[in-house]
Amino acid sequence: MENMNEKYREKNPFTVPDGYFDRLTERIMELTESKKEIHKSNLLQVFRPYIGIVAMFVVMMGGMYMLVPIAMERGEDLLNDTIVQGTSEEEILADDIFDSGFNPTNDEIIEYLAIEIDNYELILADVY
Amino acid sequence: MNVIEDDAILKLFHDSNREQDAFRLLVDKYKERLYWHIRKIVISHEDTDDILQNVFVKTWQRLKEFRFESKLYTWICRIATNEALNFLNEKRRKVYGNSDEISDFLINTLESDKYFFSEDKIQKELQCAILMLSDRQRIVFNMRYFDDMSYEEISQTLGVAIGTLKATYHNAVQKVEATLKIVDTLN
Repeated sequence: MENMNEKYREKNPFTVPDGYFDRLTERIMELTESKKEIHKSNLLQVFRPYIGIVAMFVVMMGGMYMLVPIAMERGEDLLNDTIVQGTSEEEILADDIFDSGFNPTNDEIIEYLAIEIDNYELILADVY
Repeated sequence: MNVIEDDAILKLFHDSNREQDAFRLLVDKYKERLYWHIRKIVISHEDTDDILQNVFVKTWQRLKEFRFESKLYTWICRIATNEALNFLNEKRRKVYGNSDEISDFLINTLESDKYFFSEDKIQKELQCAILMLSDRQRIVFNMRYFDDMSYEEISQTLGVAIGTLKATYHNAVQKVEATLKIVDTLN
C-alpha cells in the first residue's frame, strides 16, 4: 500500500520570502498584544450600558430613600393643618359634632313632623 | 538549541507575569511546522500567513483551557487544520459552486504562486496530482507522506478513526500514482 516513491518526499518545492520565519514571532506577539487591548476595550463597551442602568437605578433608589420620608412628614403636617389646628387624632374622634345641648323628646319630634305633613302620611307612618 | 518541553511552556504560561514569554517560546517552537502544514492545504503563501496568524491568536486565547488530553502540537494542529478547511470552504461558497472547481483554483494558485519552485517538473506534477484529491485525502496524504506522522497522531489531530485514515491514505496514494502514470504516459 505505502509504495509511493520516497524520492518525492525529500524535496520541498514551496519557498517563503527571505527572513519570513525570523520576523514571524515578533509579528505574532504584536498581534496577540493588540488583541488583548481590543478585548479589554470591547468588554468596557459591552458593559457600559449596563453600568449606566445600574447607576440610574442606584440614584433612583437613593433618591427615594431620602425623599419619601420627607414627603411623608410633610403629608402628615398638611393633614393636621387641614383638619384641626394643633389637635390630635384622639381629640378629633372624641369631638362631638352634634350640639350636646339639643336633645328633643318624642313628643317634640312628632310636633315638628306634624307641621309639614298631613294626616294621610301620619297613618302611613303608623302602618310602616 | 535546546527545545523547551511543552510542560514547561504551559507551566510558564499559567504564571500571569510570564504569559508573553511562554507564548513566544511556543510560537518559536511550532511556527515552521504549522506553516508548512497549512501551506500544503491552501498552497498560497499569503493565505497561509493569514491563516497562521489566526491560528496563533486562537491558540493564545484558548491555551489556558488546554488539558493535556493530547499533545500540545496535536491540539494546535487541529486548530490549524480547521482554519485551513474553513478558508477553503469559504472560497468554495463565495467563488465556486462545487468541490471540483476548488482543485482548479488551487492548481491555478500553485502555478501562479511566486513562492513555488516550478522548475522542478516532477514536483510540480506531484503537487498537481495531490491537488486533485479531496480535502480530507489531501490532508491525510500530506501528514502521512510528507510530515511522517503516525496514524495515531493523525487520528488525534483530525478526530478520525485510525482504520478510516488507513483507507483514506491508501486511496489517496492510488489516485496520486494513477495521475502520475497518466502524466508520464502523456509526456
